[in-house]
Amino acid sequence: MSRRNSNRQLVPLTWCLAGLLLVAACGGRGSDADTGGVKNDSGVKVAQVVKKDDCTGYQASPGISDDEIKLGSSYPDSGPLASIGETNKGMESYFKHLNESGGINGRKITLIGKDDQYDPTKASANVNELLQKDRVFAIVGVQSTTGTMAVWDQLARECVPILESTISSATRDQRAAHRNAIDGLVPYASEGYALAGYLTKTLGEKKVAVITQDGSFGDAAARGVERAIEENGGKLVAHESFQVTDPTVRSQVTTLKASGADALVVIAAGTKCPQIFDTVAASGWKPTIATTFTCSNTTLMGLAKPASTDGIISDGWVRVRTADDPESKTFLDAVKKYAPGVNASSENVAIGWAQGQIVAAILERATELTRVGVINSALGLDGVAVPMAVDGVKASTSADDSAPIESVQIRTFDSAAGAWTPVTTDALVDMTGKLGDFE
Amino acid sequence: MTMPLSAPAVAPVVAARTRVRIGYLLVLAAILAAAVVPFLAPPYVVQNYTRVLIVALPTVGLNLLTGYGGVISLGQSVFFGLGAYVTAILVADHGWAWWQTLPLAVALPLAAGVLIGIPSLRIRGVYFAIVTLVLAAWFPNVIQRFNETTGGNQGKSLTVMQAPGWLGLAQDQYGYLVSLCFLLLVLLLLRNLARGRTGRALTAMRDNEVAAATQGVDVARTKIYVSGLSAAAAGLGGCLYAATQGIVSSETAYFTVVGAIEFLAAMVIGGAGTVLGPIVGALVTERLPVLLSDVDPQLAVAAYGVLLIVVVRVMPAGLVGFATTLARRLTARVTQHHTTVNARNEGKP
Amino acid sequence: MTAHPLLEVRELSAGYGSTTVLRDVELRIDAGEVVVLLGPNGAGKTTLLRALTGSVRAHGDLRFAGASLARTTTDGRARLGIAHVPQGRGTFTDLTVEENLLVGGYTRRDREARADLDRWYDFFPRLGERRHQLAGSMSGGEQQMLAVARALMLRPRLLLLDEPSLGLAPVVTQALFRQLGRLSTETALTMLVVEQAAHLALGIASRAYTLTHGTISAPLSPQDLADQEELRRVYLGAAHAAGQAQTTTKGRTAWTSSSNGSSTA
Ligand SMILES: Nc1ncnc2c1ncn2[C@@H]1O[C@H](COP(=O)(O)OP(=O)(O)OP(=O)(O)O)[C@@H](O)[C@H]1O
Ligand SMILES: [Mg+2]
Repeated sequence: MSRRNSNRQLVPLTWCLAGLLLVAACGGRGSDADTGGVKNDSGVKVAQVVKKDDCTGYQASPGISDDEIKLGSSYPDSGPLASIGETNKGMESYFKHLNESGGINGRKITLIGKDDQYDPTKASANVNELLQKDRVFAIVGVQSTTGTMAVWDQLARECVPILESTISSATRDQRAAHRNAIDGLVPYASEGYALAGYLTKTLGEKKVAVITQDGSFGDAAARGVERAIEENGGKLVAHESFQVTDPTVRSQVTTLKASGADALVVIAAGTKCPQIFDTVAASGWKPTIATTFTCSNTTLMGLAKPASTDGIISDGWVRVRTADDPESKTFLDAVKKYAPGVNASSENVAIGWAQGQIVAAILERATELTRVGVINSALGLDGVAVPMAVDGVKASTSADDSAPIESVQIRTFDSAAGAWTPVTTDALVDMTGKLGDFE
Repeated sequence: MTMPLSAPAVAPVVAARTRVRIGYLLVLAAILAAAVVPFLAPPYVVQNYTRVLIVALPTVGLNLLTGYGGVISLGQSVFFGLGAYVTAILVADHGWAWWQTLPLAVALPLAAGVLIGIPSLRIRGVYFAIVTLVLAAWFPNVIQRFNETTGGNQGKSLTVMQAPGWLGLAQDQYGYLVSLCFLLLVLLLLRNLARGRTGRALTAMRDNEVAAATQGVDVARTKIYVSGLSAAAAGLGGCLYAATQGIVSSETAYFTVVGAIEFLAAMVIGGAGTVLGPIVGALVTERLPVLLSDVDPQLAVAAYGVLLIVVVRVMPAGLVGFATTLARRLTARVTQHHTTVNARNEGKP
Repeated sequence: MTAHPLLEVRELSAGYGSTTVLRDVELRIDAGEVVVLLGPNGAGKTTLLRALTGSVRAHGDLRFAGASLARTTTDGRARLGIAHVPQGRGTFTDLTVEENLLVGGYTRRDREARADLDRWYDFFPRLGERRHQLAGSMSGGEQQMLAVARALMLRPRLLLLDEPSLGLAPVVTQALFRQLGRLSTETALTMLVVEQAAHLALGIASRAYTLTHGTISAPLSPQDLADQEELRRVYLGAAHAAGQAQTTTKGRTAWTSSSNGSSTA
C-alpha cells in the first residue's frame, strides 16, 4: 500500500520536470513583428531622446488605426480610495468631449479603464492585460506611484509611453531610467518648494516648522521645503513626522509649537489633514499654515472646524472653476454629459480633465503616432498651455525633465465660503527645470 | 455476527479502484494541461494564472489548519505578507537572489505560525477567528510603521525572477513554471500529511477532541505543528509572490484582510478538507471577479457574493467535494451495472 | 516483593466546574482482572472513567503500574496503555471505519497498527465489510463496535468500557460480551466495565464495585454479588421484575461458567 503511494507521488514531479524539458525544447516566445510608423499631420519636430533601437520587443503603433487611438488606464474604481479614481472620469470626459470635435486629426481617443483598487499588483495585471489583450497604444493616468512603478521597468524596456501617471515622489535617477513615464502631478518636492518659498520669500517668515507623513511622499516634499527655506535665509526650526495610522498627532504638534515657529508646512493626505489643522488650532498655536494639494480638497477642508482652516495656504495648477470662466463651463457641461454620476466639483475630476488635455497635446504634437514618437513628443513639450491649467502655467519637459507641470498658483482658503481664492500678488511660482535641485 | 463476504460487498471495492484510477488520470491530465499553459497563452494570461498558483499556496496551508483541523483562522494574509516582505527586502536591499531568500521566507512565517498556534489551544472557535482577524487588520499598519524597511504604502520594488539563459524562457513563463512546481510539491507533501497520521488525527480532533486525546493524540502539539505548517505554506506563497510580481506594498490586497478573506473563500469554495479544493478555489476567487467585472464592474461584486452563497449553500463540501460525490455516484452506478451483467452472464450455461 | 496492582485509586474526588461528583473513591484493579462498576444513573460512573483518562478535573492518588498519573496528560495516559470506550460511542464521524481504527492505533507505529487491523476485522466482521464507510453513516450498533475496536487498536493494558451495550440489540450485546470474555481469557486483558446489562458484565467479571451518589463501595467478590439479594434486585433484575427467578438463575449460571473459564485461562 505505502509502496504504491510513493510511486504515485513521483508522477506529478516527473511531469513537472518533463514540462520544464519541454520548455527548453520549445524555447521562449517570439515577439510580434515591428509595425511601421503612422504619420501625424500636426507633428512638431522635437529632439529624439528615445530611439527605437533602445527598445526591446518594440511594437511601434498597436492600438492606432485610421480613426482611433486606444489608450488604457488603471485606477481605483472601487475600495476605500475610489475617490482618487475620479481623476480618470475627468480625463475620460475630456477625451469624449475632444472626440466630438474630431479627436486627434480625425482619430478618436478610446480610453479603456480598469479598476485596481489602488493595489499595485492589480495595476500591473491591468496594464499587462490592456497592452496584450486590448492592445492599447499607451498607458495614461495610473493613479498610484506604486502602481506605476509596478510596471514601469517592463514598459521602459518595451518603450510603451506611460503618460500623466503618478510618479510624483520618484527621484531624478528613477525618472532618468524611465524616460517613457511622464508625471501627471506637480512633483511633491516642487510643491514643497513652492509653499515654503511663498512663506519665507513672499511673506517673510523666518522660523518655519514642518510636519510630514512618513514615507516617500513626505520625504520628497520635505526636501523641497528645506531647499526653499535655505535659499531664502529662513530656518527650519522643527520637523516632525507621523504615521497614517497614528491615532492622534498631539505630541507632534506640541513639539512643533514649542519650537516657536511662526509658520507651519503641513505635508499630509486624506483625513489626517483636518485632524492636524484642528489639533494645531486647539493647542492655541497660530502659525501661518501652508499645505500640499493632497489636503486642499474642499470636502477634506470642510471636515475641520472653520476656525482651524481659515486663511490656510495651498497651491494648485488647475484653474479654480468659476461661473464666468468659459473653460469651467465647458468642463462642467462635459462632465455632466459624459460622467453624470460624478461629483464635478471634486478637484480630482478637474485635474483629470487637465491631464487629458496634456495627453491630447502630446499626441497631437507627435510627428508620428509611434510609441517612440509619442515618448519623444512627451519629452519635448516647450511651454505648451492647456486651457484647464491656471493662466501662465505651461507644460514643459526635456530629456532630463519628465514633469510637465512645475508651476503652481498659491491660494488661500476662505472657510466661510468653503472655497479657495488665488492670492493676488505673486500668485504663480514657476519652478520649471528645478526638479533636479531638490535632491 | 460473522457474515460471509457477499457479491454486493465486493462492488464498492471495485468502484473505489476505478475511482482512484479515473481520479488519478484526471489529475495527471490537469497537471499536463497546467504545464503547457505558459506556451500557449499570452503573457498577461500566464501572469494571471501565476497568481492563481500562488494564491493556492496559502489556501493549501489554510485548508490543513481549517479544513482538516477545524481551527478557523483569518490571519493567513499575515504569513503570506511576512514571506513576501522577507523576500522583497532581502532581494531589493541586500542583493540576495530570490531563491536564497526561500528558507527564511518560509521559516519566519513558520515560527510566527507556531506562536499564533499557542493561543489557539485556549481561545476557541469564533474567538480565535476574531483574534486572527485583528492580526490581519493590523498587519498593513505594521508595514507602514516600519516604512524605512518595508517601503510602507509606497511599496518596495525588487527585480523579478529571471529564467536562466539556457532555458530560453520568458520571465512570465518561468515564474509560472516555478510556481507550479512549488505548488505541486507542497500539495504532495500536505496530501501525504493529510492522508496520513496527522491528517487523521486532525479530523479526529475536529470531530471529538476529548476522544482524540484519549486515543493518544497530543492535541496541543498537533495544533501548533499544523498552525506552523499552514503559515509556512503561506510564507512560501508570499516569497513567490514577491519574486514574480516585483512589488509589494501595504496596499497589496493579499496582505490585508481582503487577502485573508480571499484565502478563506478559496478554501470553502474549492472544498475544505479536500486535497485539490484549494487550487480550484484559488482559480475561482482569483479569476471569477475579474471575468465578472469585465461584464459589469458595478454588478460584479454583488454577483460574486451571490455566487459564493449559492456554492456554500448547495455544495457544503465545496466544488471538489461536490464533484467527488458526483463521480462516486456515477462510478458506483456503472460498476453495479457491470457486476449485475457479469453475474447474469456467469449464470448462463 | 509484591507486584503493584495495575491501577490503584485512592481518595479520588472529581467533578465539573464547582460541582464535585466523586468523593474519596478507592479502587484497585489487578492485571488480568475484569472489574465491573455498577450504579444508578447519575451516580458518577462515567465521571470516574473520565477521571482515569484525565479528561475531567480530579484530585487524589492515581497510580498505574505503581507510577503516579498526577502529571500525565490524557494523551500521555493513552501512551501508557489506558484505552477508553466512551459512553455513547464518540467515534470520529468524518473518518472512515479504517481511519477510526488507525487513530485508535495512534500511539503505535503506523505499520504495526495496520497489521492489527485484520485482527479486529475478523473479530467484528461488520467493520471489515464497511471499512471504507464514514463512521458517521454507520448504525448505532456498528459505531459501538467501532468504538470498542478502536480502543483495542491501542493494544491497551487497561481497557475502560463505558456502557458498551448502549443501543445494541440484545443478541449483539451478548455477542459483544462473548467477545470481551474471549479477550479476557485469551489475552488476559484488564478491563473496567461500566454496564447496565449487569448480568452480562458480571458474567465475565472477577470483581465488582458499586457507585452511589459519588461514593464507591468496597470491592465485592462474585460470591458477595450472588448472595446479596438486594444488589441483584437493583442491578440485575430491574428489567426483569416479572421473571425474577429466571433472571437470577441465568445470572448465576452465566457467572459460574465464565468464572470457570477465567480461572482456567
Ligand atoms: N460535563 C458535565 N458538566 C457538569 N456536570 C456533569 C457533566 N457530566 C456529568 N455531570 C453530572 O455529574 C453527575 C454524574 O454523571 P455521570 O455521567 O458520571 O453519571 P453516570 O453514573 O455515568 O450515569 P449514567 O448511568 O446515566 O451514565 C451527574 O449528576 C451529571 O449531571
Ligand atoms: Mg454514564
